[in-house]
Amino acid sequence: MTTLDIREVRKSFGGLQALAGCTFALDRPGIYGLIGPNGAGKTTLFDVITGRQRPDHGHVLIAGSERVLRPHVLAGLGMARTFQECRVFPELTCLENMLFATQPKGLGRTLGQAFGRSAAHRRAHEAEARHWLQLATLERYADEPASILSFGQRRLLEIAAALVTRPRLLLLDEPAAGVNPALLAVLRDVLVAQQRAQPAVVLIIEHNMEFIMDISERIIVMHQGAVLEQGSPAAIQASPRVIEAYLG
Amino acid sequence: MKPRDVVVFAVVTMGLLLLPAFYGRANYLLHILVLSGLYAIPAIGLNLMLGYTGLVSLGHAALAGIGAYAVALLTVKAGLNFWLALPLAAIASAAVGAVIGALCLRLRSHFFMIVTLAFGLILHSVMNNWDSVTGGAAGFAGIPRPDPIGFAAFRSLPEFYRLTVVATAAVFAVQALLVRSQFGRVLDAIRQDEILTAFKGIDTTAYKLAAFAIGSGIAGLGGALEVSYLRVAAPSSFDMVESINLVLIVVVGGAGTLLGPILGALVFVGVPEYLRLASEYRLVIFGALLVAVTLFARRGIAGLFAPRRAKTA
Repeated sequence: MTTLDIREVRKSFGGLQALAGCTFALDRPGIYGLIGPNGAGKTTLFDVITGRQRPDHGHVLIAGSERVLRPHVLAGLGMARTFQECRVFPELTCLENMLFATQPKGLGRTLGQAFGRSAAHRRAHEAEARHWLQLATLERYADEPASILSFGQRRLLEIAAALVTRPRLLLLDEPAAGVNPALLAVLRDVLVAQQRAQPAVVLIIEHNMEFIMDISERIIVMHQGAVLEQGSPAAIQASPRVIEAYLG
Repeated sequence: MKPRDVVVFAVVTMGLLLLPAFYGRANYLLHILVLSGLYAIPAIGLNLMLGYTGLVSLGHAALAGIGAYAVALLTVKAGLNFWLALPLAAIASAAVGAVIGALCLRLRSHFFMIVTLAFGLILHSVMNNWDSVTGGAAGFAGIPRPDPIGFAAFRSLPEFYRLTVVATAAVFAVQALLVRSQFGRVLDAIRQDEILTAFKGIDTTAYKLAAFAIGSGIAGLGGALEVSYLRVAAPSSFDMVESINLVLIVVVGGAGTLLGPILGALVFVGVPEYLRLASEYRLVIFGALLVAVTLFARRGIAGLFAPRRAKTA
């Protein structure tokens, strides 16, 4: 079953065609970079995948399932995502942020537990959560609220918290934006360690070319709402069509 | 739940229950405490919505009114035992709250507030004008005090005072259990960042609806007890001003704190009485308090005692 299958997706906003028949499939675990000049349709594609926008035409299949899915259902299928604007729970500690998605989620279950004996879910995942916090160089802040972190640290926390759920499909929206070079190296280490420990399909939108070329095994280049080129970072950097799209 | 908290809770509740034994003739004090409790109960319901989930409802008193008129109709017109009518009244409020919630929860922030305000006005208007069922503006008179259970009667003021203490303590305990469970942590997460919570795999609509229904049910319980105490259900007890009063009680007492609604209700009822002021000045006092709380104590009076909320449960 293909993890992410995008078929002939079109989406227009008034007269502007943001996606014009975008097609690609990601099956094997690995880190995939999604790049393209401004206005290429990257963010619209992200919105279509995450259910924020409905495609005018075409299909998006996540783990073989195609419906207009609400966010919590997508999460249930094994999708995790981070946000361009970076979202963490500011009042929860870093450790609580990490553990939140590992706790029971069903309304009936949590309400029932409120008046019964509560199970020790926290402990089961705590060691793993601390391990990721350590890799993200945030272990010092485990019991501090996330609001005290710098933007770059919050970004790392956001990504680490997404990893704890062991997603099959992880979407990162400009993870390197606003992150200083030192933390960027940490971010890279975290993602590489993640691929080794629990292989997943990781799709990254990024403008930082150095970062994305370094970390991705495959690059997908979008231009004018469709896939222009796919290939290894070296092949993409040498492609005349890509160079023309960026410079033209 | 820490054992120490449970002990403190039990001691305070017992102390309040014994109060009439020492101040048996201080009817005025007991009356004030009963009124405080009757405000605190719906305020606790609102706190679950406003304080913990971040849903500011401006029609909460009207949902208490549903419970009030439900208990009035069930006991007087249908002749039901009060103790059967009381849970039914709470369920009626929860059901109406769930319907209103299902309609309002599609909206965000101030749009949500405006629509809850509108529903509050509609419900109040129904209570005020449906003469054949609610008694209209004159109110629904002749509501009985609760029926006795065994030796325990609830007719006299000290007796009703004890009932109020037990009811307030019970609702407080329910609030504490909910808030400190995973259910409460999810509500708190929704308040902090609803979109993120949804992408963490949580059906946020279902949780918000549950918070709305539970909060409304608790309000209905409070409304039912209130009219049983006053012996009359009047529409003015459940109008927009009362809804806003409940918001003030929660915010000034400390939204998102366990004790906030109770402290807020004690201040709201107690301070004007203590100062011997007409109740018209209450909004002036509370307006000033609200400004002070917003500027200097974001977690209300309760927040002053606990500088930082305990983070780990």
